[in-house]
Amino acid sequence: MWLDPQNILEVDNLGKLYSKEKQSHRRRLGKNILRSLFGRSLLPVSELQSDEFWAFRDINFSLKRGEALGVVGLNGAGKTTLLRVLAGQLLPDRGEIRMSGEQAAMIDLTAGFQMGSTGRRNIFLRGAMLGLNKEQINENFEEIVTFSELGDAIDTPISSYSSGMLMRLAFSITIAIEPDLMLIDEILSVGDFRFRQKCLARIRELRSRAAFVLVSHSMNQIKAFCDRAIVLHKGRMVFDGEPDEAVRTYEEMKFPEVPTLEARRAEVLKPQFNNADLIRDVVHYWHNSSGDRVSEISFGETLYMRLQFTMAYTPKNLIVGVPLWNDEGTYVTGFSTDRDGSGISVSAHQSVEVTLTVPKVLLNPAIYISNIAIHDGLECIYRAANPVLSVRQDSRDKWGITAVEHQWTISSDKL
Amino acid sequence: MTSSSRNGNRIISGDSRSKAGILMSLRSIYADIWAFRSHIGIVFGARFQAAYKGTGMGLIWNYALPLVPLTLYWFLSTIRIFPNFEGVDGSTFITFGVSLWFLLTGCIQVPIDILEGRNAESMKTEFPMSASIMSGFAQLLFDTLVRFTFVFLIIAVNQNWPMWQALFLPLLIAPGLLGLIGIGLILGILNIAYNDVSRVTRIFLQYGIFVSGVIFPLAEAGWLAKINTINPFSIYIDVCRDIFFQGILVDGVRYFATAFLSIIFFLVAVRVFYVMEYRVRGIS
Repeated sequence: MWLDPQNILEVDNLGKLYSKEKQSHRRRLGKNILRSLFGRSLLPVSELQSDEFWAFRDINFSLKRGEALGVVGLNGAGKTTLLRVLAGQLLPDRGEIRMSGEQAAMIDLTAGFQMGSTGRRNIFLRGAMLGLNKEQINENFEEIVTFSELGDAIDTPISSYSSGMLMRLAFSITIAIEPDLMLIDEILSVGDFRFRQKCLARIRELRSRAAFVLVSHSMNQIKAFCDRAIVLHKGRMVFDGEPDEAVRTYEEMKFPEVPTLEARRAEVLKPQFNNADLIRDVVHYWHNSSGDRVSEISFGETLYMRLQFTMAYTPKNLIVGVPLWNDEGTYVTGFSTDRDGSGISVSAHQSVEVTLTVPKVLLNPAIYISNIAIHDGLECIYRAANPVLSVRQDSRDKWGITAVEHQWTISSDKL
Repeated sequence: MTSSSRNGNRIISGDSRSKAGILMSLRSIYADIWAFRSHIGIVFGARFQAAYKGTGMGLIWNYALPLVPLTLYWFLSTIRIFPNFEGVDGSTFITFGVSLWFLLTGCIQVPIDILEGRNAESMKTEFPMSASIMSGFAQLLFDTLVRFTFVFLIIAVNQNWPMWQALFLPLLIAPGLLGLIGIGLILGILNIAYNDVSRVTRIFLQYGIFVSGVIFPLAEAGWLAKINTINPFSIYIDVCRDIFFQGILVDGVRYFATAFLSIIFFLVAVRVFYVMEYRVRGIS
């Protein structure tokens, strides 16, 4: 059966067999080699050998241009294997995949890269792997380098790159070919926040022209980006539908009992990071106008965040950010010295004190959780949770997450 | 996996490859190699430049290493350890044979090495193993060109000019190359399931040169001479030497029978490789 013309991808009853023991895998392989050598059909997958199991099976879905499908599931549920099979890197043992147009996969950052070669040469390598010839890569070369923000590092071996730099390079090459179908595995969880936003913006640009399959453990990403999501559990598709519902199903699997407040907070605030070689003596807390630490504040009050730290080196472009979520994990707002034009100039072994002032807290009464994130340019050097903050209820009713200063003007004609 | 084109409609299914016949297997592998031709060139170039990076002699190693065994045999010939053969100077005769030996054995060794060395990495990319093997053959071709340049220098010095029939040499050796590539593909796939295969093969290819009539004539070697009548290395190397230096095909029947079997074996091997290529991925 061929593709419905509307669809970019159709997956029909897909299954992939794995073995717990290599020997079992090799035994089946050996038998199949001999069978194919003598022109016989391969061993049927209905006859599972000892130690064999389905990494996933009975997977069915289709995807239209402009759609984004999220794939969620616990570790070992078969998400990445499914993505590898969709990308044509592994052969399914059962079922069929029908796809049209050009596809590009971002599953393994370093796959296909030659670590000893420069970023420049790897652009050509990866580009050629994605089906581009030399002329086409040359045409896109400047755009790739510009998007990746690697600058002069493009001519140094990629073995010296950080994982963030590798991600930027890999993403920039992949996105340059403007594929019809893009398969993304957790890639957008690597690298700094700003570049991730840039990637998401670029992906959004492609939304109407391409289809996406996104594997992620970030439920916010799934909810924000996907139109639909499937949930895999022990290799089976247990849900296919709205992302919000999929996330709920996933969280019920992840936390079979009602998650504790701490568990939910920890999930939202991940990942935490502290490079003690670069930064030390970090202290951060909320306080009021008298300088007293607070964990509670009234709606409309002035709030301060104090941050103190000592740098072990001289950073080039120090940025401090404070992303803020409500207790349900909804991203409410963020503060950044970079965005607000507050440059931080600091030298090695110098202590710094940074104060964030929110003149009027217009957050509606709730519990708020936040991180403090310290970056040097694109590289994250510190990321940790701030103390929890509660906004007290005052006498007036509030709706939604936040309030906006406003006024009504009412006029009426006299009868 | 059936991939009609990387840009067109594609169907991937578990059993589509196992239903493929020889012609479809050949066509699909050719299509994969053609689709990734640019990458094959870039990979070869990158490996060529990176292979000896950081060494004092750098790129010169790429030219020097293929010549090491050849210069050793040439040196031994010049001190008359090996005799002249039917009017051809011993050093010419042996370096020519040894170069052919490395070309023929390379056809077996390259697929085994590539399938063994890059299998784990291959499951992380959609890059077909056939294209990886082609980049390995590009290196073999380069080494062969370097060796034959050296052989032609010796020919020029010794004035053992080839006969005009030598022009048929590529045609005569082509079935041999195909047949041995076929053996390499089958052994390479088998080696993923049974790890001993590559080790046993390496031993055979390393020492087989001494029992294949490449250096020592085996006409008087009793049972070894009899085995050599069905040794494809001997058959192809003898034919190439005969046509190159004497302009005659001494044992046409044996050659054509071997060539026929080589081509048949190549076609069968291509199908087996095509069926199994994606089934061996990631098994290390």
